[in-house]
Amino acid sequence: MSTTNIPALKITNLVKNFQSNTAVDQLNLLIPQGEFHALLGPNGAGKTTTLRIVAGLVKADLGQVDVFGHDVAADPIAAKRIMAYLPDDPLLYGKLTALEYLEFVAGLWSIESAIAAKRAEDLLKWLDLWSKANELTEGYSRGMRQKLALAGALIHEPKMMILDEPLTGLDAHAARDVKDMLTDYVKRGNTIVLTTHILEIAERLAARISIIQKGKIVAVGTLDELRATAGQTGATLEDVFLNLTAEGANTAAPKLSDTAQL
Amino acid sequence: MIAKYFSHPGTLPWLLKYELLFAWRNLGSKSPRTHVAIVLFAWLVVHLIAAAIFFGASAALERGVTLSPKTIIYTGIGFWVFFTLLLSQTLALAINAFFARGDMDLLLTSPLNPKHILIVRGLGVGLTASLFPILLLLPFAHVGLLAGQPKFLSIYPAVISMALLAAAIGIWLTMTLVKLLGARRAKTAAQVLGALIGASVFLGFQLQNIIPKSTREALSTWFNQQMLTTGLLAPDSALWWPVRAFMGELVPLFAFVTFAAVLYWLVATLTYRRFVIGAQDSSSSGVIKKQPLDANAKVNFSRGVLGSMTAIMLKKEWRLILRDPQIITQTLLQLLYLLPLLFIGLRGSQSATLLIPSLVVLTAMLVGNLAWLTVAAEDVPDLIGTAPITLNRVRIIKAAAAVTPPLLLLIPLIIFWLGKNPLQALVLGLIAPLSALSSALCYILNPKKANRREMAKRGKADWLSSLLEMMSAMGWGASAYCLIEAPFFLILAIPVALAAPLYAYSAGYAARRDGVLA
Repeated sequence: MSTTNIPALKITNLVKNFQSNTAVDQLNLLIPQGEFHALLGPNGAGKTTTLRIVAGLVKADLGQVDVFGHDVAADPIAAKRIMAYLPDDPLLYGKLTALEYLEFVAGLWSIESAIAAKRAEDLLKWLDLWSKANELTEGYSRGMRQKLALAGALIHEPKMMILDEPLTGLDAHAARDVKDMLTDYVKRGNTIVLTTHILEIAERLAARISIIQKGKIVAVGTLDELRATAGQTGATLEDVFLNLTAEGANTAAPKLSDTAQL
Repeated sequence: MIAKYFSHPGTLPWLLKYELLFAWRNLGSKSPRTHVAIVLFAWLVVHLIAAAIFFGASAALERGVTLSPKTIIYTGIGFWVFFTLLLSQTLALAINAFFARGDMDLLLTSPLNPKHILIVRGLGVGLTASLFPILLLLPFAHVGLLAGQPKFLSIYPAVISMALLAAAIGIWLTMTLVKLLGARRAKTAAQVLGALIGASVFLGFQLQNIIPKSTREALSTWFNQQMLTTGLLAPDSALWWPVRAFMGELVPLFAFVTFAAVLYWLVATLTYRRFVIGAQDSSSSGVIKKQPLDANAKVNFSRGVLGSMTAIMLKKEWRLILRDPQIITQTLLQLLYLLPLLFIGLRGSQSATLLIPSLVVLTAMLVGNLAWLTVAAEDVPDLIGTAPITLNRVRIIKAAAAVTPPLLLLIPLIIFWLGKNPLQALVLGLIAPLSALSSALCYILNPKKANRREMAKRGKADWLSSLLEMMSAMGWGASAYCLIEAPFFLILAIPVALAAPLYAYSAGYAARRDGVLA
């Protein structure tokens, strides 16, 4: 099997309970390499828990997550080496400067220092943070913080990025910068799995969209495929999303073979 | 009528009601009901103690209490010593209340007069800092009234005036620091200044251990002269009027209340503009601006061993520690508290045997502070959690980051002590690293997430880990003492020292198994 045929992310029968609450319930999902995939769902649907399990931050009760063929539970180091996780609250240290932060993140991923320094310089210039590179990040605006966190995620050149609401609180300029950067990243053959409440972003950027409700994937496909599933030809993603996540909608989990139709 | 005034929005009492509510809620993390129950129980106990004291002194009280000149002087000195500690506490609270609490933007954008906001917040600070003396002294007023001594009701205005005076000086010092350094730097400076004021009391008590005998005798002569009727410290000096005010003497009481109120009003009037500027500064996003990086500048990251993952993680931990004013203040204080012991030790006095155990305990406590910062107060555990590094390795690096600095500080002392007392030096060299490691393990083996900003309250937030750390420190301190003086008792001391990390290992097993770092 060639490495390009290995899915970037394969989630099989994933289950996670928090006491009596089932956050993720027999979830299956298959995302091929090089795809921009959006995971949509109402609040409390299990999006963040799923992504945190994929990122290796939460242990699943049942099921398996493979990142580029590496089982996240059995071989977490190999899986983590090739992915980056970026939540809505940027993972920054207020008392470190941008350069110190990037040196630290590069160190965590064991990137050779000369390479890391060059990448840090390029990223900071590209994201328009260069002039503030020696300032403590506690003084950064929300947009600057998010862009720096993105630089941190990119410095080890991951093959897949997991983004949880990456555009929350960003102004129009910063949001445009981040969207351009994400599009460019996927064009280079990398994979993105993103959750967002801003449906316009999913509509414009994502090649395929999964809709999750009560811990299960209730629909997956391109926008046209989702429209067909919802029986709403020509409808907006918002209409489709509201239809598919309405109470009483069919919440049966699709089989892995269904989601595997790439 | 008063209740109606309190409920009238926008008035000073209305604002004060909220300020006191916040102060009350900030006192502890327990539920409001438990909180009230604990305070009421403690207050009842103090009332009983006050009643016992009044009962014991009933004969003297019936004759009419008149304090002897010496009693007035010594009580007066005690009052000012206590007031210094109160001021230290007020300063630490003031900078936080004025420039760190999130509600200042809301208040300053409301149509309330900024001077009123300053007055009320200052009162809140003064009363919070004085809460302990208030709770301790008011029962004497109540019991005094029941015992037929209504003059002790003077404790009410006197203790409020004391809080007001501390708040006035605290606000003035805070605003002066803000004027000189800006709101952000002033925060650090106020923490250091507050701690140094508190430490000055301790050092004052230790003066006789530090200064040479001749100076001590000269000082003693000067004090005795000043205590005479014409001296600065004479029994009828205005310096001791606060004590007389507490005892119900009307003229000193009136003077003390007036002085405190006028000073507070003056400070509020003179500093409220500085307060507004400082509040605007501190809420703006800008930090101390650095020269922008030149477009042609080159980035250089550490290479070789210094560029390894371990070195970079250690560097990050130490940078965060060095940039944390609270930990720096606390470390300076701990070193300051060590000074008198060092002087005693250097003179070779008998009590020098206490120096080694004390050093062991202080090392363990310092490591405990650092381990709390590196482990529990890790800002972004999710970043570490998603990195391709095992949590065990992260834990070891974090322990090393906490243990190394205090032990490095000890090395010159151990070498110096080898020449003076090789046995004590060897005990220090053996036990201090064990105590340091043990303290770090209390946090690493039982991970619990905490907020770096809440370092001062960490004992309340995670009392178990703090208790374990203290138990371990005391156990190792006792072990050091036993090794020097009574080796047989090691069989008692070492189990106490080891019990803490062993308990942490057991209590934190599930969290570690689930991959929790903090």
